Amino acid sequence: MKTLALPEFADIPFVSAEHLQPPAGLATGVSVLDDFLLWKGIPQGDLSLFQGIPGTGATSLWVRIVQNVHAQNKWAAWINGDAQLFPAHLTHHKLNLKKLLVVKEPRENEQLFWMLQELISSSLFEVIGCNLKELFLKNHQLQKLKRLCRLHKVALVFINQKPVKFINPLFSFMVSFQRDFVTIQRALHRPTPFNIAGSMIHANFMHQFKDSARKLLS
Amino acid sequence: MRTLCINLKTAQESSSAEAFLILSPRVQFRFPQFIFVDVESTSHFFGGEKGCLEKALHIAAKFSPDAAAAIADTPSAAQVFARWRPSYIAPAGKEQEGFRGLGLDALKDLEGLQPWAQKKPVEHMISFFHTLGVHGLEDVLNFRMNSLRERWGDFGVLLWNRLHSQDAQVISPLIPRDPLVGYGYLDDPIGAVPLLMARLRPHLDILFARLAGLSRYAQKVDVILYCEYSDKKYFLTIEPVSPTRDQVLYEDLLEKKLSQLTLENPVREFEISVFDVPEKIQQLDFFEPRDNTEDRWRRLISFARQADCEMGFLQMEASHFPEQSFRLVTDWPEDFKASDVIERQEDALQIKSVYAKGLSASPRPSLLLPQPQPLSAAEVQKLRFVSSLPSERIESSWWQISVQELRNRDYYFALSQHGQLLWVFKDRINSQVYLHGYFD
Repeated sequence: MKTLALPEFADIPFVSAEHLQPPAGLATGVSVLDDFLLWKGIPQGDLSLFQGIPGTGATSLWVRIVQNVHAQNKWAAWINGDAQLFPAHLTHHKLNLKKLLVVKEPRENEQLFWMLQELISSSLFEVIGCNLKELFLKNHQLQKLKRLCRLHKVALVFINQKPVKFINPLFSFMVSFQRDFVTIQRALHRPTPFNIAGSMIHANFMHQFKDSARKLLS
Repeated sequence: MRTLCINLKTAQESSSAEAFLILSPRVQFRFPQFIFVDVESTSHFFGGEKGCLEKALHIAAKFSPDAAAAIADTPSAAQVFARWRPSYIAPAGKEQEGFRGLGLDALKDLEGLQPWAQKKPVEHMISFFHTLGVHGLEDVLNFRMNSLRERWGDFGVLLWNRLHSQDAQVISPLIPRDPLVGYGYLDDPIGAVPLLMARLRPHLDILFARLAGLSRYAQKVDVILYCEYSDKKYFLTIEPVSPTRDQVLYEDLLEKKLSQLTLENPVREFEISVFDVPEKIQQLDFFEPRDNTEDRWRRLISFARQADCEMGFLQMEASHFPEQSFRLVTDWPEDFKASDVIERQEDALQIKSVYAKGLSASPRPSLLLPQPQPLSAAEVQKLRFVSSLPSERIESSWWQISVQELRNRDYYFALSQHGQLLWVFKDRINSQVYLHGYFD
């Protein structure tokens, strides 16, 4: 016979762990990352920050997320920074260009903030990527975007080319891309920092260059 | 003939009749506020005369909030009912039944397409009937035509004919000729955007109702604001990404534009011009949801265009130079596949090889710089090139060789000292190394 240590809790309908549904997320397709995160991907309806100088793999992770979004026949949007998204690369990764809205780099910061609000509140997109030279948005602006994202269930991903060490709690998910590894700086309910090998995300051949067996670099 | 009469209550322009072309092509305006529509052969499209009446009232609400309508066999009786029995539908062939209970004042409205030349004879007739002890319209029906003719001549005959549905009034098809323009004069000049929008909106309501009646789309809307004191004019053009009849979109775009405007003085007058184009006809699938996402993204792109922010879809182009191989388009991008064309003619097979089709499979960076960025000798020194031989050579035809346009490139993969994987090229003419993209 099953007895409870505290009989007064007998009437409380406890939910077992397997019945708990994790908060909504968008899978990245990187199993190590998806298994580690609470959302089984990046958080939907929240802000994420990918940090890293260009050429270290942040855009690759975003592209992988969009791959999964397009597989579900849903839409994504991207705001260009000083460098623009190259469609030849996207078609290699089987992205549907008809489901990807691209915005040219806005001239002013205020325009970017307005544009982000418009994109989020249109409720058209599952994920929005925003490539920035530097994260210049103020906290109150981020708060407003976060509220809109939650309302419209949009995953907003900032790709910041100038990494900052400060961990802003407004971002539920923060990742830093370095030369050989990727560090998860912040992820709700998970022990951080957490490192994974960069090769899992980044273009595969980059690490082949440095592999001693077929070394191409001096 | 079954006639729908709409009494708009306030004086309108004759062009307002265009809004009711949805109901029937036979529409006629009668000064100052009456619209007559022949719904004999079209009422079934709206689920009967009741549906037709409701639709008419819905349209009329854009012109006047307390508009009234009624349906009868003749225009004159329909006008009487629209005035004295709003929303009444007289039984076909028995419209006189509807006269029961109406007073003699209703005779003033027994006009239809042709109004009484003078009101005085009607008033005289009414006072005369009162002296006879006749106070209801149904009692006048009992008089014979000869009696009325003896007393009032042709006017009496006309009245008898109208009372007995004998006055033939034919509603002709309406041919729209008026331009889609609106004009407003403000007694109290306005400088605040919400107040100005409130004054512009009724005009837009009318213009878009006319557009709907004409089955046209608005390509753009021009608004001219005339300021008080100074003769300053502000010209605003609202042009969404594609022609549409979405009034809310136009209003939102106009409000956004107005809010960016700094007025020198308050606005005294305004003009609105709508430039119309034929309606696009789209056959929708029966199972396709009507609220599709296309309208939402068109709205988004229209907003962005107005804010001078370019957005769209990536359309790949047939060019082997990376920066020319794509552009942003606002329509759906077309599929681009560089592959050989195989033609079959009976037993013969002809293969037309496409130049540089292999380029589509070659590695390309995820981020491309809009303009190649020249690297200094020191920067190049710090790069680690993956191979001494170029991974790719892209060049233009020999007759197009020019140093300025960088048309002779040897591309390499290189690693920066910070671990960035770069896409660089060396110009074969001047040996300068340029950064062109990131494998990010």
